[in-house]
Amino acid sequence: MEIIISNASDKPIYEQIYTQIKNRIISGELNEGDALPSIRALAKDLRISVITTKRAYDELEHDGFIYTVSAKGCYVAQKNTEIMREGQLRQIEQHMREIMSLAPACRLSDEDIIEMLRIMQQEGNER
Amino acid sequence: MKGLILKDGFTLMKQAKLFLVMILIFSIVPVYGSATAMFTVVFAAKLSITSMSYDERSKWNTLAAMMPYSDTALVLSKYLLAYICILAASVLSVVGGVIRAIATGGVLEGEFLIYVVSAVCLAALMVALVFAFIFRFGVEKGRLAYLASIVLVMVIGGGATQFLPKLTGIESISAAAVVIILAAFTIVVSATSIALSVKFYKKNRL
Amino acid sequence: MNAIEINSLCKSYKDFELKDITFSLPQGSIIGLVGENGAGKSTTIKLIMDAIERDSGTVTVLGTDNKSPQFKSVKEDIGVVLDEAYYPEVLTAKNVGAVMKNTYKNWNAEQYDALIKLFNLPTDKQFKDFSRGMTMKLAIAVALSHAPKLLILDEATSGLDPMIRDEILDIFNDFTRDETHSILLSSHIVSDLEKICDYIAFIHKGRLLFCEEKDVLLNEYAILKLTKAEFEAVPQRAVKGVKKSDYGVEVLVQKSAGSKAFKAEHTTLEEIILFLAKGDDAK
Repeated sequence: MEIIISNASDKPIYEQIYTQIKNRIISGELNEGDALPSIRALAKDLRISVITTKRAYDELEHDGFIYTVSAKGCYVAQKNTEIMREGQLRQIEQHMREIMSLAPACRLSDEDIIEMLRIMQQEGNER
Repeated sequence: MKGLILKDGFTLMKQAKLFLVMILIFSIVPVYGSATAMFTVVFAAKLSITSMSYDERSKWNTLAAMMPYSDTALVLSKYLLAYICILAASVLSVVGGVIRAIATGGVLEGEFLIYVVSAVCLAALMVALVFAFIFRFGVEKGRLAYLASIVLVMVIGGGATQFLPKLTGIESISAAAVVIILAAFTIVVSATSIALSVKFYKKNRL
Repeated sequence: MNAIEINSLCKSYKDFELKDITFSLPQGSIIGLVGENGAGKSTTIKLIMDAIERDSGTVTVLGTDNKSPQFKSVKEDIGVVLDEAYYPEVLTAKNVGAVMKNTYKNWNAEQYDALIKLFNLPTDKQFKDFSRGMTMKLAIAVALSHAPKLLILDEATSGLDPMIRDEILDIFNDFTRDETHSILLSSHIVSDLEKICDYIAFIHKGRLLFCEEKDVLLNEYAILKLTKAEFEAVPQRAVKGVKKSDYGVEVLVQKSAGSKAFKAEHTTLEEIILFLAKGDDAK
């Protein structure tokens, strides 16, 4: 599992870990029951604070993405991830509906919208 | 404690070898009687001071305070080291004396042994004086105490053999008795010195 | 449990005073003691180890009061590297190993030999001929080789070249993979501490200005570069340090005390500390 921590980022380190692990769970890269690295091992491997790593895991657990088996470690939870994925899909659909309602007023064709998305993605990658 | 003695042992290895060779030569080559014994005295005190000055330069005491040693153990180890040096030197003197006796076809005179024993006592007295001084004032001033103690020990040593019989009024007091008195005196002084040094050491920790 | 717990620790000398130091090091973490030379870092470390007598306050190390008779055996579990105290200079690495074998009950000769090899240290060279880097590595090898639970390191990385520094920081980082292991690391090189510490304690002129989680510090403080007019608009309670020049004002702000709308530059620990130290001096 790859996790990239940026010190120059505006986002706090725990949030960077939280987001990256969450995204991997939602994308299905991590499956139910998959073991996550221990808090301490992850902190030491990434050379970041144990406290920060613990905070990220606590948030993940709080939001139902992972669960902790005491003295064994942290594992990916499944149930909620389905719901989270559903939730995110619904969010995307909602945004898309908004786009669809706004686009005609700006005379954007479907191709224009797709082109816009591509450009934004490219910019995102470059950053 | 063994670790501490070992540390000083490693520190003094070079000087010790040189001194031991010199002692052996001194005791084999026929010089007049007490020269060897006197040399033992000087040697032992000198070595211990050397080890202390190495300690001071490297701030060993600060480092040692981080280790599982008590202050008493740290102080005692220095005395123990000195006594080991004295013992080694006196054994060598005796060995040298035996070799010389065999070489010259004579026997080892009892007088020689008395010289050695009294030299050991004088060495211990010197150590007692110098160490208490070093633990209180540091090595630099301890060197002065060392020089002073050489003079003092000479006077005491000389005085004990010269004047004690006259003072007591018994001309026939034996050398052996003098040695026994000297030994008792040495033990008392050494014990006092150790107690004082421990006290100084604790105080110096500021 | 806390590996180190210090409460209202005071110690005064003729020309220097360590005043009311209070902080603790939770087990399993690394704390960095930052401060200028002469700020009181070494004094604090000596007081933790009870190598010098404190005037007042309490110190508990690995659950034991450092004035209790049991503290001597607790020292078995503490690896210490000091800035300016060594073994007598004529000793070799091999000699030091033999001495330590007879000093610490848990001495691990194999580990020591392995570390000496890893650090590329000569075994038979008198260490008066060692460079500062080599001397430090030797001390670190000793500190790590008696199964310590706590490492206390005074300026262990200063004076070393960056490559070795990184190597040594990696070793410290690995040491705390075991959650019962903790480290107190003092340095005036803030960037080293920023790399591996969980907590930062900042000592300035004998007083503790703060002891805080490192990431909280980095998130909590921000540096703003403003015009003088903009500076006037910043709420005063959020301002923790100011640097004025003809061209504008640099301000250290505490985000939680002001508006979140500050367009803050990313800060480093070093900047935060410089600003806070200056702010303290100005008082």
